[in-house]
Amino acid sequence: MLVLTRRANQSIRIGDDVTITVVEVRGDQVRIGIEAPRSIPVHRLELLLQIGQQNAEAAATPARPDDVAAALSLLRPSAAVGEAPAG
Amino acid sequence: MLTIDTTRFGPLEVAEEAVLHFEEGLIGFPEMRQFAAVPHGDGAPFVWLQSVERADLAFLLLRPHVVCPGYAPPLPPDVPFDATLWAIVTVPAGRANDLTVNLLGPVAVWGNAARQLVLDGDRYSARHRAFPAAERQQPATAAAA
Repeated sequence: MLVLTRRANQSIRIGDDVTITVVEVRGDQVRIGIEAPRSIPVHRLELLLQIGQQNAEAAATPARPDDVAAALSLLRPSAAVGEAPAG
Repeated sequence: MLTIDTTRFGPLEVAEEAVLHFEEGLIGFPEMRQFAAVPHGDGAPFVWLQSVERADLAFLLLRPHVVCPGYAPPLPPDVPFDATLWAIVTVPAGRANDLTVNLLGPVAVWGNAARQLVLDGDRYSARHRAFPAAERQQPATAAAA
């Protein structure tokens, strides 16, 4: 991993169009500004990992038909409430 | 029509215009970009997301508001405001009671385009329990039979 030391208000350019700026350093927190084209998704890594892990788990445990039927019978009451017209 | 080889449904006929295109793939599955949406029976709130590219890859989806009333997270600026949101469901084998729903990474669908979103902050869980503990103790389930 490339490690660079930066102070508040100093930046790093990645490629042609991504700029990372240290906005503020306070205690053990760092606020970071990111300028990037919309086509480049920017996410907090731990959230991306949680979702990826959940996708992997869902893919690795194909729902069994009897379990889906059981889930449906558990869901029916709340699904009905969700579809009832308001008021 | 397109015939997809699937593990769950056998050979599946799908209209080409009914195939959803995930430009970025699913998170953790970047190469899986085309999925067919297959409704699960009449009136059920479930839809299957069957990979066109991988026969054994199918996700079960649920409309999030069914398990989380009022679910209306802010969408990224490049996703249409009227995109339909779905949540990927995980059903542990033999334990439908422990079904969880990924509310942190919903799948947004508009037209034939689809994208798995990453919601900001800590309001929504990737493992939202559909049936809280009290409901799980109700005996009238297939699991009790």
